[in-house]
Amino acid sequence: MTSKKILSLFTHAYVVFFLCYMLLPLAIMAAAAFNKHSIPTVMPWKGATLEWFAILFNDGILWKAVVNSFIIGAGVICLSIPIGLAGALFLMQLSSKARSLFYAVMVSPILTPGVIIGISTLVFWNTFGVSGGIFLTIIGQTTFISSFCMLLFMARLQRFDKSLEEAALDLGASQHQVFFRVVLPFLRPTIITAVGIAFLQSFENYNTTLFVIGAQSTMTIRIAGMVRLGLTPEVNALALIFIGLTVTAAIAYELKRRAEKRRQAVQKEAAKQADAMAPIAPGADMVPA
Amino acid sequence: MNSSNGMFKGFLYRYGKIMTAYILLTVAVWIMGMILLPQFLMVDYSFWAVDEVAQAKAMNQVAVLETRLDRLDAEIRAAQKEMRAAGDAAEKDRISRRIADLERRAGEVEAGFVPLDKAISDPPRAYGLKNYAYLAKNTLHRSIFFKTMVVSLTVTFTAFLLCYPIAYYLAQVVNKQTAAVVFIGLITPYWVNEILRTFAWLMMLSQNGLINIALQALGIVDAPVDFLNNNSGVIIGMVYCYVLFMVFPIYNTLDTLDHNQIEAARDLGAGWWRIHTRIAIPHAKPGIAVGCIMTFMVAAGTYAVPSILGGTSSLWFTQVIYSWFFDGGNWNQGSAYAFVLLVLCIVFIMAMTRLFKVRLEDIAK
Repeated sequence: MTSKKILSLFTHAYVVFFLCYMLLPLAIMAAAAFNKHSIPTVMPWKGATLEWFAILFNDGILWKAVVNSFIIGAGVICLSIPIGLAGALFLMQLSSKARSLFYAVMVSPILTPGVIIGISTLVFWNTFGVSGGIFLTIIGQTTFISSFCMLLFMARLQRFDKSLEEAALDLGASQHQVFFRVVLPFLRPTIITAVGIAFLQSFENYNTTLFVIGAQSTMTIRIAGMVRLGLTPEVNALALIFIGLTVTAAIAYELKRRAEKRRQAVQKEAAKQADAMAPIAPGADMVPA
Repeated sequence: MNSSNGMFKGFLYRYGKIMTAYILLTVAVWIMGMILLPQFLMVDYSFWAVDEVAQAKAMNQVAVLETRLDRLDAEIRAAQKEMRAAGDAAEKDRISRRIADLERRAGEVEAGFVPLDKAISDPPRAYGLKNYAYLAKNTLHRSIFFKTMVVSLTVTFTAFLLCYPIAYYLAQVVNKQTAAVVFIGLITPYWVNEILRTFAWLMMLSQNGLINIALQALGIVDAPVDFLNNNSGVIIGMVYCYVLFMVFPIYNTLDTLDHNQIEAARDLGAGWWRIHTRIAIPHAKPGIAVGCIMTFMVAAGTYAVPSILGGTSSLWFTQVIYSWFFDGGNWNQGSAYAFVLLVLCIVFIMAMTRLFKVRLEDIAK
């Protein structure tokens, strides 16, 4: 019993240590954004300042790179969602043998190092005289982000009740109507998720982008340049903003999830009560929760 | 033929003409135009080099033609001078005929430049293993390649050791509420840009970073440790950046393990070590394989972490590839190096799927 307790204590201590390992560097990076010291550090502390945020907001080169990142992200979304959807619909219709072959090819971009996707895209388009820039970056990123989207759509489509489709077709709907009225609405939540993931993947991509961006810049490329060649706590200010956005999003997501759960629990409880009170009642949802 | 015909009919029945056209066309463009052809072209690049002998020969010929052209030009100018000095019409006529002849010969020489210029700007390709032989012979690049491989394996193994307890804890020990909170703690760094995550560790590990300050204050070391110029900085940074690729797959498989199995084993007297080696780890095998594959792949293929935490004396193989493309200007050599890296990753994936007996289909879940 005591050995079990020691083990449990040890496990909890380890988890706390691990969380510190994950979060402490970020906290220190964020804290250095307020230090007056001209290089990013928390020791020695030379007094608090907001100067670095002012410098960040006036950094024209960085904001231009951010605009590029948004353009590329939008382009990647516009291409990878339709491609990923087509890929998922394609695979669902194949026999199992052909499916594993095509599946292997279509997920291979995820298992290929990003630099290689960048290089192959660069070499390929170079034969048509297209050199690195925003266009090639969109193409290069779309190559593997489409695979992620495809996997999301496949996971959702596997839960799709095919008889719905059959029923719609039997009742005289055209395949078009079936797709736009039945399949697409079913996929809607996944499309929203896929848009979010595609954008985040695109926005933070470095390894592929590095090879295809040419003389242009994205935010990630620009930050890497700032980090490598002499930097000021301006980067820390930017990092703090990022961390703030992330934490807010994570907390919002968790709160929403809990509220959803509570709502479901309340509904379930109400249904149970309704069942108990009036076993033959037409609808449990008539009973106020 | 028949089955593909049936497949096509199935598509038409299910999706109709327009949707079928959209699906097949999009998939074809993606697979051919974005995945396969670019890869094939990269591999093709890696197997040829500019035929330097032919290129040098063409340059020599250009030089020969240029002197010949210069001489003809000089003769034409001399003749034009004579022409201005000439008195009678007969002589003028003779000189002008000579000029016309010289100009014709100059034109011929100029035409000779055209094929040579093409041979220089778009030089003939010599296929062979030259680019690979270069890597095999270059001791520095070869050692960087092996270092990349060994360090990536170290990163993968370290990440596994660090992550397995966390994944087990989240899946089997705590309730869902606590797990959700811990998950937020794990995901938050992952949403922060990879470059910024690495930069956070640069601040921790640099000469006067927090870790060196702590080590010196505790009296463990006298002088600051140079984490950035041995490989430790890269290993620490990579483990930090890529742990989530390890935690999630293992968590997903451990989550499906029925806790009663563990209780039963414990009731029957199994110690915690046996519970892990005989029940939990075998059950988590697919997750471990996927975690190792993803971690190794991103570690071997990253440019960001080593370029920030690697210092100048410990290059990564991707950095060598990059410099072939953008500093050395030899894409063929760079493509060969990139292909070697790709083969390394494929070999690792195959080894892991064999070792852990998982299929590719299970990987991307």
